[in-house]
Amino acid sequence: MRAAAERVDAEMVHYMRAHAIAGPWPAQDRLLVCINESPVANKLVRTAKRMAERARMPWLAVNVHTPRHDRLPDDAKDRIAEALRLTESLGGEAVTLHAESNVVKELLAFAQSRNVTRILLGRPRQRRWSGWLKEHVTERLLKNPGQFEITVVAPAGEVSPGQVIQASPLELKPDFRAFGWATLVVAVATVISHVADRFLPLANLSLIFLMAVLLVAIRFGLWPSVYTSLLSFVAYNFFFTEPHHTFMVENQGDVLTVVFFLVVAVIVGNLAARLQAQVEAMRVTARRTANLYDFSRRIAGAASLNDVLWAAVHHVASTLQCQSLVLLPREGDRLEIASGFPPEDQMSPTAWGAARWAWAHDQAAGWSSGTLPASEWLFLPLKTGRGPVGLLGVSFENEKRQLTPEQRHLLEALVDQVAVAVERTNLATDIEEARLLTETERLRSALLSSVSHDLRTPLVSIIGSATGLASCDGALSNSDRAQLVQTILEESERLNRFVQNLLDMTRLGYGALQPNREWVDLREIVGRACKQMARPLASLRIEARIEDDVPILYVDPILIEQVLVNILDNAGKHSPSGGRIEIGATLEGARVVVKVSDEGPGIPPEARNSVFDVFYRVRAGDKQAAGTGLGLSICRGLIEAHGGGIEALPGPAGRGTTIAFWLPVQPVPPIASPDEDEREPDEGSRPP
Amino acid sequence: MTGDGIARVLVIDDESQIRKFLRISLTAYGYEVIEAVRGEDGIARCATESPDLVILDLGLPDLDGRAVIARIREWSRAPIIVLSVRAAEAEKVAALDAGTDDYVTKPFGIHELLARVRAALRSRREQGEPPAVVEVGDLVIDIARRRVHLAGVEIRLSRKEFAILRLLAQHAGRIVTHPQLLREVWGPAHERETHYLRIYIGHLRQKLGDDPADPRYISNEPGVGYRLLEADFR
Repeated sequence: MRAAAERVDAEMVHYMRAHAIAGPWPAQDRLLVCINESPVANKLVRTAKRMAERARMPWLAVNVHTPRHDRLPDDAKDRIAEALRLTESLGGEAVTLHAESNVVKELLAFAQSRNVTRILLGRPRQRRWSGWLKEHVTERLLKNPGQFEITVVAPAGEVSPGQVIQASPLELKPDFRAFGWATLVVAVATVISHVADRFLPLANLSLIFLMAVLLVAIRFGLWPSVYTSLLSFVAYNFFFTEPHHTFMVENQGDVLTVVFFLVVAVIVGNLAARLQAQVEAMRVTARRTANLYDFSRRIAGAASLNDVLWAAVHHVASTLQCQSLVLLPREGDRLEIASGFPPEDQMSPTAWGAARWAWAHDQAAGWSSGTLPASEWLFLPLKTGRGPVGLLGVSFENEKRQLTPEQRHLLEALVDQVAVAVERTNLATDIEEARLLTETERLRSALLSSVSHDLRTPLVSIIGSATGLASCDGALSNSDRAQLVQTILEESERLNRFVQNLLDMTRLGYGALQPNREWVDLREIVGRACKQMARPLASLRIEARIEDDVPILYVDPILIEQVLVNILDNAGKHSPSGGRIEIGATLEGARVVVKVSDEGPGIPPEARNSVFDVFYRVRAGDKQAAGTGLGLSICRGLIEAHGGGIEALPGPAGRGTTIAFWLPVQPVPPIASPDEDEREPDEGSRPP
Repeated sequence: MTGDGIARVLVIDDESQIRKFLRISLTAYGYEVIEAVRGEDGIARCATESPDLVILDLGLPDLDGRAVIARIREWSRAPIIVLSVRAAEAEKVAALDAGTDDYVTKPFGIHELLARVRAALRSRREQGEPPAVVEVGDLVIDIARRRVHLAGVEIRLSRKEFAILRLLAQHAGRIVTHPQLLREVWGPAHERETHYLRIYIGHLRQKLGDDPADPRYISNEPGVGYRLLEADFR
C-alpha cells in the first residue's frame, strides 16, 4: 500500500509540475525542516529525520539564503553547510533557496511547490530588546501557517547565551585612517564651499557636504560616514551659516540639515558595507570556482586511477601549500597510500590511527579536527553515493597554523571532486572488468567447442579403427590391419600433441610457465621435433638447414621443441601432398632466427598477425583442416617467455608461408678448467 | 634373474589399462610379469617375489614415487625404470638420483620400453665387472686401453671427451644424467654447468661424425641427460 502511495505521489508531483498546479495535494506527507546558522541546526536535522522516519515520509532541509547570509561569520556559514551535508548523508534532500527579503513567502512558495505538508522549525532564540522590532521567521510562519502543519521543536541542548550568533553589524572594520580621510574630505569640502559661496546660494552649499558624506560612506562605511556627517555639519555651521564663525544655530532648517546628513550617512554607509561584503564574497567564490574549474578540467583529462590521484594530490598540495595524500582501501578494508605529493609512502602510527578512524566512521579525523588532533595529517573521507571510496590527507609544515575558512571550503569542495573522480575511474575499471569477463567467457566457450572438436576427431578415428580390428579380424588383409593400426597410432599421437598444447596453454595462462633453461644445440632440438613429426608429415619432404655459426642456445629445449612441433604441425596441415617444408636457422647479430617455410596457400597479409591469436582458427570457422588455433598462439607464448619473437611472413619466392621466430643469443660462460688440447687419451700407451 | 633365464618384471601402476598392456607386451617378449596396484603393495611384492626389474609409475595415489624408490633401494638392487610425464624433468632427474636406473616418458611405445628394460637387465648382469670393450655399431670403445675406433679408424679424443664417452659406454643404452656426467668428469663443483657438456659433446659428436639432428651414437634427452644409443635402439 505504501509503495503504491509513493508511486502515486511521485506521479502526482510530476503532474503538478507539468501542469503548474500549486499544491499541496496531500497524497503523501512530506516534511520540510528549515535550518539556519544556529548551532542546533544539526540537531534539528536529526530530529527531522527521526520524525520523517517515524511517519515514514520523505523529507527535505531548506536554508534560505538572504543578503544577510554574506555577512555571517564563517563558522556560521560552516554550520549551514554542515547541516545540509548531514541532511544528504541521512537520506534527506538539501535545498538552498534565495530570497531578497521575504523569507517566509519564499519558504511557503517552495513548500507548496514541493507538496510539503509539515514544516519543522527550531524554537527561536530569546531576544532581549530587539524582539519587538523584528519578528522572527518562526513567529511569522506561525501567524500565517497557510495549509501547512507547523511544528516547532526545541532541540535538546539549547544554546547557551554565549553561543548566540549575530550577523556582524553593517560596517566594515573601523579604521582610524578612515577617520583621517573623512576629516580631510570635510576640509576639502569646506574649501570648495568657501569658493562656491560666492556663486551659489547658501542652501546649495550643503550639497557639497552631502557629497563628502556620500564619498566617505561609499569608501569607508557606516561610522566614518556618520563622523563625516557630524563634522560636515559642524564645518557648515561654523563657516557658512549665520552667525558666521560660531556654533550657534539660529535657523531651524540647519537642524534639519544635520538630520539629513545623518540619515544619508547611515543609509549609504549600510549600502556600501553590504556591497563591499558581497563583492568580497563574490571574489572568494570566483576564486574557488576558478580553482575547482581548473581542477575538474585536469582530472577530467586523467584516464587512469593513478593519473586522477596524481592530479588530485598535486592540485591540493599546490593550492593549499601543503603535503597531500590519497589513501585507498586495498584487499578488503586495509588502507594503503595510493598517491602523495610530494611522494610519500609512510606515515606515523598516530596518522594511521586517524586515517583508520576517519575511514571507519566516515568523518574527518586528525589534525585540526575533533578526533585524534595529535596526528600531523588531517584526513577527509572521499564520500560518494556508493559510500566512501578513500581518504584525502593533508598536512601543513607549520602545524600551529589553522586552515582559513576559505581554505577549508576549498578543501571540502576538492574532496568532493576527488571522490567523484575516483568513483568515475572505479566505475570505468568495473566496466572494463565486466568487459574482460565477457571476453573471457567468450574465449572459454570457444575453447570448449575447440577442445571437444579436437579431442573427438582423433578419437573417432581411433575407435573406428580399433572396432574394425576387433570385429572384422578374419575379413581384413594384413595390409588393411597394418593401416588401421597405423591410424590408431597417428591419431593417438595427435591427441597427445593436443593435450600437450592444452597443458602448455594453461601454464602460459596462469603465468606458471618458467622456461627450464639449459645450454642446448638447436640441431638437436630440430632433429627431435622432426622425429616427433615424422609420422604425420610422412607424405612431405622436410629439409633442415642449420648454419654452422649458430651457437648453442640457453633455452628450454622441450619448449622450443614444442614450438617447432606446432609450427611443423601447422605447416603440414596446409601443405599440399608431397610438398616441401624447409627449416632454416641463421645467426643474425645477437639473435638466432629460425624459419619454417611451407608450400601451402599462404596467409593473407591482413591475417598474418592474428594467426598467433588464441583460437584464431575457431573464429575463422570450423571448415578448415582440424586444429585448434592453439598451436601458434602457444608458440608465441613460449617464444616470448624466452625473450624472443615470432611472426608470419610470406614464403620464399612469394609462395606459401614462412613462420619465423628468433631467440636471443647469450654469451656462453667460460669453462673453468679448460680441457687439455688434442692428444692421445693415454700417452703412455701411444704406439711409436 | 631366475634360474631358467626368464626375467621377472614387477609392474607398479594404479592404471589397470597400462598394467594390462605392459603385461601382454612383456609376456609376449618373454618376461614374467608380476603386478601391483599401489606403492605399499609394490614394495611388499618386491620383497616377497624378488623381481629382476621394477617398472614404477611415479604418479601413484598412495605413496610418493620417490618414497617407493627409497624403500625398495633399502634392500634391493633390482633395476628400477620409472614412468613419468613430460614437463616433469626435474622429477625424473630426482628419481634417477634416488637410485632408479632409467625412465620412460608417458606416453611411450613398447619398443622404447623394451630397449630400456634390456639395457637395465644387462647392466645388472654385468655388475661387478664392467665390460672392457663396448661396441655400438661401427663405434668400438676400448675402455681398458682407452682407445676409440670408428669403422676401424682410430679417433683421437681429449681426456675429458674420453671421460664422457667412457661414462656413457659403461651405461650403454641407459641414461646418464647431466649432474652425474658433470660430477664424474669435472667434479662436484661443476654439477650445474650444462654448457660444458654441450661443448664437449659437440666436439665428441663432430669427431664421431654424429649428426646432432639425427644421432647414431649419443642422444640427448632434454633436461635429463645423455644416452649412448644401442644398435637396436636409435
